[in-house]
Amino acid sequence: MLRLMLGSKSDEELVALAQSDAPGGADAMQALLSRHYDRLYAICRRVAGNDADAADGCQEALMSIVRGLPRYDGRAAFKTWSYRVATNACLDELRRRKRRPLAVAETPEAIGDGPWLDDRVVDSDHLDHALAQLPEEFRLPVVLRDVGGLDYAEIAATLDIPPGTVRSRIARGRRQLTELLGEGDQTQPRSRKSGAGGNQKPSDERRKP
Amino acid sequence: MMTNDELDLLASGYLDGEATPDEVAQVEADPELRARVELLRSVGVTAPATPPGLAQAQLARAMAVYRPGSTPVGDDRGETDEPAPGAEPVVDLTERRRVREERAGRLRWLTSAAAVLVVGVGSVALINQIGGSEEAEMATADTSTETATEAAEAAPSAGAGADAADMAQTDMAQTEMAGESAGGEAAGDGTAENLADPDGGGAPAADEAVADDADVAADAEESLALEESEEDAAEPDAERILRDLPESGFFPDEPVAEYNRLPTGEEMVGDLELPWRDEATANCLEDFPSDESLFAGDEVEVIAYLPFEVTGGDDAGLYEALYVIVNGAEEVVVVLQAGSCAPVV
Repeated sequence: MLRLMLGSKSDEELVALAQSDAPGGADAMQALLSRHYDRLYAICRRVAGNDADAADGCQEALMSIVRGLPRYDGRAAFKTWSYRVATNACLDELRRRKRRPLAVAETPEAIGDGPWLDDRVVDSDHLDHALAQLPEEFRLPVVLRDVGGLDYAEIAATLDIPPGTVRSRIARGRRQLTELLGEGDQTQPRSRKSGAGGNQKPSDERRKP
Repeated sequence: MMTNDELDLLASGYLDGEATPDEVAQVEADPELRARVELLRSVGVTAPATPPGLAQAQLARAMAVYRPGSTPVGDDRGETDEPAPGAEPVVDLTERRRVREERAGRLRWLTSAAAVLVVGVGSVALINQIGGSEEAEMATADTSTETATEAAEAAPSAGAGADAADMAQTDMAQTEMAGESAGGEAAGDGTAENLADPDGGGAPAADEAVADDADVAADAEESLALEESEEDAAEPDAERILRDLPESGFFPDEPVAEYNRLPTGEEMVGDLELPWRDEATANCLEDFPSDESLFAGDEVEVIAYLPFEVTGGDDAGLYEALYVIVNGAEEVVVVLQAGSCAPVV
């Protein structure tokens, strides 16, 4: 029944099992990685800007998590720790290649000039390009907030910066994104092709107070 | 008058639910700030989908570097270097005892379950006959009983059936955790009685044994071995599969990932990549029990599913175990031949 039960265990319980030499340790490790894989990949994808670098970075992150588990002592949540490992691994991957994130779709023309097809198109075609142009110090907190779903305190712990700095960097990063995506330099939201009230929410995961 | 940066700071904090109550009130009272919130919301960064097949390959490669027994050391920096080599893992006897108890407990449970396994030779022959072709499976589905339908409804996961399955699994998890807790206490007091019998009944050979840790563990193993050998003599070959299941199927080298709910047919041939599944057999669990004589008149709920492999002996091969609740109470394990959905007798 061991495998059947792992899904109901908390991260902390799985970590303890994975760190032990008891049977089921490998299963616990795998369960942990499986549970967080999608988010880890998504963070790498948004940090790296393209599938190939994201895949390499994510692979490095997973192996670093497995190898580094002995160092994990539970002071931070496993999620926070693993996202930090992923962020570092993906940045290392980019640095190894000595370049900034390379967006899949190169769109040299002004991104915001054309009509908005829909929010998915914004995500896939324009977001990578815009994110790639964001300085790392803004890109990382925005990605960890929006993709990783971390709160400011967790982002602060992940990036080793004060929570107040997290807040200001996210605000400035978002502001730059609005400009890069053609919505910037204005304080009023611009209508999309649907006309009045056209600002659509691109992510269902965003929360309101 | 606030600057643009200050307005963004306020709007962004509000958007993330990190604004103070005063700030929230300020934003909600100001149309310009609300518009700015919407502006920032419109550039939210979404999580991209994972490319198909990537996760499994990457997880497999990562697991290849996993080494058990890695106890926590050093600080938590999230660095990407390797752990210090040569560190001798601490042997946790308490944990070893607990694992041994778990195994013993599972053996008893599964053996009991085997005793109530209701499988007729004739029905197996029938299922074997019809299990091979897609047409036959369709015919089986057509003639499924109401109980079969109920069981099938437990599989797809979105509805009440899945909820029930989740609840049942939660109960099982709680049971296991309770067992673990009891195991910890047993190990803590160091008596062989508790070690040998996690149910609290006490094994005769171990009842009076109180010794140092090593002796206790050895006694408990002897006791367990004695039980197993008695079971060997009594049970028919087919039930040996059930009895051996924890040893051969639940521990390392299993072919598939964890299950905390019943997989859907699509997942069986897709995400989980079960090697014995194909389009024809993907949904056979949803038709379970395909032979109505298996649980005639009973209410059947499949609460868990576990593929496993018997790696040696005459019974070597791939199997699928279904954990079934009959009439809301009785726990039964049904073992199917992998791929054919035919029960093993």
